[in-house]
Amino acid sequence: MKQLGELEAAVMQRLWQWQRPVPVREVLEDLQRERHLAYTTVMTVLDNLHGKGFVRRVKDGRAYLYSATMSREEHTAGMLDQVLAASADRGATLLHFVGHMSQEELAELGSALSSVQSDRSDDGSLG
Amino acid sequence: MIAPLILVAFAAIAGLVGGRLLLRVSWVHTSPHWGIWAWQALSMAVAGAIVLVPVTLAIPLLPVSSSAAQFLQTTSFHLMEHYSTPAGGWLALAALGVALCLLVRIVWLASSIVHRAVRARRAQLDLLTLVGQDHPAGFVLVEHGTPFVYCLPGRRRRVVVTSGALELLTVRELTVVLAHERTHLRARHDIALALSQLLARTFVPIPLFRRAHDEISALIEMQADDAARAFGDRTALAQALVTLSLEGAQRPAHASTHSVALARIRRLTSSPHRPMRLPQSISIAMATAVLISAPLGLALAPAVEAATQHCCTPD
Repeated sequence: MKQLGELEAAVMQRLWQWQRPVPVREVLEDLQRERHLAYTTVMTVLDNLHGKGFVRRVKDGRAYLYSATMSREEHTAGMLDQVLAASADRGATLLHFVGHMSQEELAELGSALSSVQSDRSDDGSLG
Repeated sequence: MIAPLILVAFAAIAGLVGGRLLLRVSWVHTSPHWGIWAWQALSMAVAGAIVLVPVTLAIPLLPVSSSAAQFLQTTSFHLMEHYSTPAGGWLALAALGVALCLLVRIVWLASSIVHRAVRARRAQLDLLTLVGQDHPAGFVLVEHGTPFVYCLPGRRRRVVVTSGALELLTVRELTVVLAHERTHLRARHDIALALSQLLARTFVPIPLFRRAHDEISALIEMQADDAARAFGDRTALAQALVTLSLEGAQRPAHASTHSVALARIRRLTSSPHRPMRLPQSISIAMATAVLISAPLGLALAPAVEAATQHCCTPD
């Protein structure tokens, strides 16, 4: 199962990179530079992705041309939106580190906050 | 007949008094894992009492096997007598209906909660595999400007960090934040939340369970904060909290007016807490044990009474 996910990610990588409708063969040839794959495998993966709504396909002669429905950024944003929505429910699906605090709540912290932030200026950043 | 009334009284008193008590005592917040357990024990005791009310009323209708009566050295008839009510068969029948409805409701809600969680997690993991990259420090990195850190519980557990968070946090801060998230995963806080949510949804009109769910949600954060302190200092954690809540993702507005983040930062920046001493933890353990076993004990009291009363021994 995990391998399939990695393969799907590899296929989507190409689609996001090329940003044009491509046939299965082109994806296959590019993937085969890194690993052994059968045509049917790549076809199945693209079929799955189509089923999940990540790719759209257009018929070109006898073959299909595949392209991504959303950019990687849109996917990420969509995923995080789902995370935020789920966290509002306070269900058990995910546990985020902290929610948003309003300026009023920050003002309440007063001295505790200032002591914390003054310590921070001595620290380096990860970058 | 007295048993159902005592159970109702127990549920009401335990719910009101226990609920208020747990909101006041300091050890709930200074030792959050005990606090979580106390809220869970209180919820179980009150829920148990509520469920046992229709069950004890329906006992006259239930086929009490003769072996149970023999075990108590009485007859089934004598046993039933101690559970019968003046209203007789009709009340028992109605109670049986209520008990069955409750059972169906709990089972249905439980499966719905589990099903939704499994589906949401699977969808999240699919997306994560697509847009995320495994970072050597043991989390999944996603390219996104807004700083955000969260974890996905379950069998395929993950901690997710956005590139925005990675840029804003120092190494020390990131270490403690990761430790905090991993505590959630290790301690299976998702199960604790699912259980409290189940009770809150099953018994909607009773405010105790909603309150317990809210408190447990806050307490698991504090427990994770405490565990993260082993990996870094409190200041780093408080700093990370401030940074991420200042710059972090906007959540849709909640009914609660105060944020847990505020309580957590105050807790981290106040005087260092001392771990709970043994006598106190023993007394809490004993109190919760008594609390949990009370409803069943109260429900079985008439049976014990029947057993101890002098009766005809079957030959």
